[in-house]
Amino acid sequence: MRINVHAHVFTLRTILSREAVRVITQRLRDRGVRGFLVDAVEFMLDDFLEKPQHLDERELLARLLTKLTGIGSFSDFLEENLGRLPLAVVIRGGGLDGLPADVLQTALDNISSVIAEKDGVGKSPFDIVQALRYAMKSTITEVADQLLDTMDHDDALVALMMDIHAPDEPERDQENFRLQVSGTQEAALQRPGRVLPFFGLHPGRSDHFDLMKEAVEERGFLGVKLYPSLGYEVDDPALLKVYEYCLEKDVPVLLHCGHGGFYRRQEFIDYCNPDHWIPVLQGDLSELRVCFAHFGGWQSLGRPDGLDPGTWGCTILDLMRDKPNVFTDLAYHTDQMRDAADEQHYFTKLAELLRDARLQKRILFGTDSWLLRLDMADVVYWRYFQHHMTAGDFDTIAGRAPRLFVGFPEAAGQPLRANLQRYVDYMTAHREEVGAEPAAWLAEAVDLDFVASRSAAQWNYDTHAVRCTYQFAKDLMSNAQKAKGFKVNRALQLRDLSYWRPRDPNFDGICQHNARLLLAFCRQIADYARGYDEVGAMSVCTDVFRRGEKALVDLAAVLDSIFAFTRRMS
Amino acid sequence: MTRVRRPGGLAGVLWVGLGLALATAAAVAPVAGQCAASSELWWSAAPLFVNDTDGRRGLGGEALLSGCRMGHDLSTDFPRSYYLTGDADLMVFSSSLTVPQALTISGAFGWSVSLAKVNPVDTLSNDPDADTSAGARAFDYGFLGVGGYGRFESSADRKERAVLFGAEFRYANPMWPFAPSLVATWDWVKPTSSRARAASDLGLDSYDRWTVRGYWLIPVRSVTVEVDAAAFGARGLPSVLDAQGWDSGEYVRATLVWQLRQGLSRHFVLNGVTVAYADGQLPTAPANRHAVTVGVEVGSR
Repeated sequence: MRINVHAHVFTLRTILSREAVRVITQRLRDRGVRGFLVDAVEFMLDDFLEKPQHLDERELLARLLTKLTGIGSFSDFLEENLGRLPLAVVIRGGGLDGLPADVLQTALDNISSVIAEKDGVGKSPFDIVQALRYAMKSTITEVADQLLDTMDHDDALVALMMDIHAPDEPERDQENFRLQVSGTQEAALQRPGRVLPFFGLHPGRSDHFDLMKEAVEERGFLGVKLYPSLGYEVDDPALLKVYEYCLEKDVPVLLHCGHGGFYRRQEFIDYCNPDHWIPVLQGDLSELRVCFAHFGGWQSLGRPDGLDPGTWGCTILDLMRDKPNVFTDLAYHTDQMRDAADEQHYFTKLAELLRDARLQKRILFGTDSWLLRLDMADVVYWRYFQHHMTAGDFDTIAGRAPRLFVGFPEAAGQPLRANLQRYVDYMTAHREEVGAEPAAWLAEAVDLDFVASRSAAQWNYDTHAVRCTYQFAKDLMSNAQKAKGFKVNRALQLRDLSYWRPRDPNFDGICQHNARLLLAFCRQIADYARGYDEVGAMSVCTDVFRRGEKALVDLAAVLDSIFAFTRRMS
Repeated sequence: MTRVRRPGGLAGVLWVGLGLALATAAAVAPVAGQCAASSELWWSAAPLFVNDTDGRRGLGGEALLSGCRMGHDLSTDFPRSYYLTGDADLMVFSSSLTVPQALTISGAFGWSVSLAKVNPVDTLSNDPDADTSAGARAFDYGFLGVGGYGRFESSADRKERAVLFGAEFRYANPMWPFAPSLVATWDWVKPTSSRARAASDLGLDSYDRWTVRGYWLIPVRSVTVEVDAAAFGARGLPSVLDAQGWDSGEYVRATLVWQLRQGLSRHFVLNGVTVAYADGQLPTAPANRHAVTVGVEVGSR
């Protein structure tokens, strides 16, 4: 069993806030992504923040290209690089919403090729769209599935939440965070033993402690994730209380510890400095299980001076040697790939550290997906490390060491650590309502039958959006379609329903009629949310019926973004 | 002729040309309008460099103004929508040029109601696959739409001018496959000034035109039968146009569609094969035509 100890499976909707838009676009700028591309992403995220929508691939491509065409410097770029190609006509011609996905993809590929040639990988629209494809999935479970599908059947990932909290956060953003908590919990139940959730904590959130306690004790979360550069110092009294709780409950903490990534203000990057942990990890807290993610940055291993005294890597290494439960991970180390000397140094140093008995079980493999997708696919990162390491060493960092960090015993026959045992107990209590067969280790630990009876994520008949969608659509199904049943009809496209008659001179009117009835049906039990009103909701809903491309599960997601439904039927 | 798509409001296509007061009426077919916001005002202005139909060149300017208001009453009984739109397209030139489009001012309004009632959500069955449970609709007899529009048109040199008023009626019920989807329109056109008519010794008589169109879609297993039938008539046209056959006509098109939905490649799908027979006269052509067509419909995935 291997574990990706550093993965993000949240959807964009569940982390998005005004602050998140700012820190995400800041990160893109810091990475050297072209200004027009960052601006286009920012405009898209702003729209998404105001009116979250489920976008399929075609819509995503069309939206990004439409935003790009509205930016003056992008026109200059086109003129300079693609002006002689018919492609430029396609991009400039307008009406992008109506173009098929492959045409849009071709346009994007051509732009990406030019940018990649000039700027290098990880800065092109192709990479950004690939990352957004993860981010704009309807559910956290779908994002997790994208990553799990590239792993072996019994491999697992640690799902790290993120709390990009801002002091003046509106209710909308608080609701999104609650969705992230419940969506991560749902993903864990959908994929038992394979999605190991860590709660994202921000001490600025007034109820952070209670939310964490509830997550750990009642919702199956087995660790805590911190991100100090988002605006808090690690010796904050509120956090000391958190550490004491984590120690008492044997809960591991993983924190961002690199110079890159997200930050609220430039000076807050230093909040991730591991030096700040030296006074924290004293006394009882010296036993705290904590992982300094990213090893302080790729330079720690990739540069000859990366572990010199005073570097973050050196401090982390000292803490790992001095304290019994300090770990580090190798997530998002990609820069050494660009230089052969850096790369050679990286893997030589890593092999050397893995020969040290005190360190070899403290260095963990992680990818930082889906954020990694800005540079490369998850599977490429796995293969890269496997290719450059001996099988034994890779098994140590991706298997033995992560297992220890998440709470597996060092030797067979010993008990699980308390945090993992609580997770097992939680799964045991819910074993008849999971979404899939459990991972082998969990089935062995529980030794009771699991029943994969849980409806697919976002397609739960107990939620208002799904119930309204399905009962509305059922009237428009043929008998053969009805006979396939609720679970199968999740993927039924609107264009397969009886209303779909695009050559009808009244087709627009029929689509409006459908939208009116569906919205009137939902309106009985929920108010509009997220900036929608009757006109906005009618416009979106009519368009969805007119296009007919969405599946019923996607229509439910559209309704869920339009209305403030309570999550479950009473 | 020039085709102009309206920026909002009228989603139909407006045809104008030298004979703008003669043949426009039946082609104007506004449908229920769509606004991006409940109240939207849109305008643009642009300088023009014109190369006219006679090869003369000149400068000009065009201003477009479009307003739209849309509203909905989404109550559980008979939910309904309305729209109100206004558009103006004004064009001026530095010299007398022959261009097909010059000035239009139009307005349209419409109202559509769903002849339906939705059930209370809490009456739905807890079993999604229960056959006997009530669905979302207590009843659904389709929708009914009515609308009206008016327009003033003028050629660039102001020598051809006309006003037009029209009304439309729409009905469709997708729940009943045998019930026709109906569109009926009526237009009254009054030329107010026409050098072309004067040259032909025709008066400025008003005329009116009506159209009725029915559409049926009947699914029979993997085959669907589509029937599209239309009839139109005009009263008060100049006799020369009557003689040419613009006064009335009928048209029918029957199509058999075999739904296949088979993938051809990663990007394309074969939607179906169609065989169609069409016979009759459309309002836009003065003569009878008939044709048999066989088609293969390919779409993107």
